[in-house]
Amino acid sequence: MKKYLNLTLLLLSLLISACSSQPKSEAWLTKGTKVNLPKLDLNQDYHDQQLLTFKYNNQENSIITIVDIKNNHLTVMGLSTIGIRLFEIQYNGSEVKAKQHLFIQQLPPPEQVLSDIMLSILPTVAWQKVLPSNWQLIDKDLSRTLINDLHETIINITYNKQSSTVIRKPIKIEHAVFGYQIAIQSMEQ
Amino acid sequence: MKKYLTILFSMLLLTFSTISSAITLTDLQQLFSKNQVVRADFVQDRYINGLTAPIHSTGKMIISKELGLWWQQKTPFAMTLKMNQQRMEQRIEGQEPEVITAEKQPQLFQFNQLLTAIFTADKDMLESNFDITVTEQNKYWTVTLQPKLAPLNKIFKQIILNGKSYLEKVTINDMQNDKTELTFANHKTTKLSQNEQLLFR
Repeated sequence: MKKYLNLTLLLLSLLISACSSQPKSEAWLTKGTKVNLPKLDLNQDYHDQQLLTFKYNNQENSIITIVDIKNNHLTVMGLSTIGIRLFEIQYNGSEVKAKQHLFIQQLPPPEQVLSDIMLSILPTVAWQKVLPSNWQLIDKDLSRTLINDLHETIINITYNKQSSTVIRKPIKIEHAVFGYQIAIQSMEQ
Repeated sequence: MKKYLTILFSMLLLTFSTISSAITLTDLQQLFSKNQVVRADFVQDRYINGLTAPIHSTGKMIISKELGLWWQQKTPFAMTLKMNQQRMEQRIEGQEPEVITAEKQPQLFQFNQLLTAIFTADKDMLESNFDITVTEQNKYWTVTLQPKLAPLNKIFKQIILNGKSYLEKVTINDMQNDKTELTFANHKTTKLSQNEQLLFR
């Protein structure tokens, strides 16, 4: 039966023709604060397969994301919980390429998912170069916090490991301004 | 709608039914309502083009001719899917269930109808939409469905069903070069217990 649902969604996803777009390599941190995405200058590759659960206005929605960084090329693929492609977004350090296969109203746009993921896995120094003046991204114990020039917490990210030279995997992202939370459950087995 | 879903369940029961001997499409269809209930464990591997490792999931399922489908994924995260003639319900552990009805998602149900029609035991329908090959080796049968008309041939390259006594494997190759492999094992056809009946509520 699941196969039928899979098939149905596949059909649906393909009939709603995939639309490609080339959004600017920018991220909105608050409604009025936009920054350029940092360059990718990592000395390591990264891979994670995770279940993201968005909580917003007492509503919860989940998607599967696959995050891959290879040779400083980042790919984030979003799939429905039963494995149907929703979107694919690529960032090579200067250009973002997004492809949305299926639009789900209750989910944040792929670009927002990309910037949240980048905010949680790139080194703070990379972000510090693009943040507005007097904004800070601070690693402390099991968390990372984005603070604005008024010392207000904008985003708080939680990990289950201390900060080190190896990229740590986030388990929760809370956006104080946009008011959503993302719980992240690793699917790596 | 109800009619299509009834046909869909019947078709699933058919594909999960016991197969005795000679293998033609007609033979497979004639087993239409042999089992009222089929339970099986499943393993699903979804190979996404461009990804090195498949998305691997496991769980168990029950199909009841009377009550519909109960599909419980256990790994990599717990998720239950229920489907009957009126509604589909998906529940991820720790979250509120998401209910999909024909009213809420008319498109989804429309496509269900289309797919149901394709996957019914209607030999004529199958043959008009797919090039079908049925082969058998050591009592292990393979049904290959090759779509020949749009939109199906824009989506699927091939759907392959394999089994012996029951449907054991479904392979879906799609045009995005993704592949889904579903394997079923430990089939059981005894009546539903009271506890099992409650799962469908």
